[in-house]
Amino acid sequence: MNRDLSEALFKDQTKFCSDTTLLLVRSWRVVSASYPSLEVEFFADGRFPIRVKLLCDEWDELPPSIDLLDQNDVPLPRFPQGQGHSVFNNSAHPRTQRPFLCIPGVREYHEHSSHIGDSWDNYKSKSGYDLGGILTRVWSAWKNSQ
Amino acid sequence: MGKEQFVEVAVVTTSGTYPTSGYNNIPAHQKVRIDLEKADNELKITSIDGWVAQVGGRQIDIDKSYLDNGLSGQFFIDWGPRQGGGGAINE
Repeated sequence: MNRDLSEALFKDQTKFCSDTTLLLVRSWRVVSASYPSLEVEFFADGRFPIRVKLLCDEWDELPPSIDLLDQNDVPLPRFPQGQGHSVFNNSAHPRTQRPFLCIPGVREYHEHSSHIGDSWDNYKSKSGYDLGGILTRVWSAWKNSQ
Repeated sequence: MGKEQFVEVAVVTTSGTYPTSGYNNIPAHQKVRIDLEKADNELKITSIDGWVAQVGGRQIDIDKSYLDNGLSGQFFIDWGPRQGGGGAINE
């Protein structure tokens, strides 16, 4: 993937980071949006904020690699627990040896042996799988977790 | 005939906000879907499979009217994809 092209796409798809209405409605705070990294914090009543880090090198040839951190930039040792069928997988990912997000649009999902047949190419051109859409999916999962 | 009720609506997405400033004045009996389709068109959102609309953190039924969703006054509709599949079973 051409780096300039990837960076241009990243910049275009992170314009929402300056949309104060969106940030207010969703209680999001943008920590940084500088290629290839996007970091956004989620807030909600009665919950500790969470920082989501998307590493977007090779975007959009590859989906972002996503990790969850606390507000001090420390990776969470365990991801939040969802009810029933959770997208937060607390087993060690084969590459990162870290908990990982098990949803399409996340690099750790597509490279996992359980989903090797579910290629990123199946999603990358669809609405809702741009960077804002993927971040929205992570936010939605977090809201449905504890 | 009673006076028709209106709501003031702005649709918020990561692709932009519709309208770009302020709110649309919409009959309260109109289905939510109609304004969302206008937003999709304006913001060049081409596929909304699995998307959900929320107001104040509550999911609303886009095939019902604003009145039937219990909405009135001025508000934002948060429009975007839900989390999607995958995952592990947590007991």
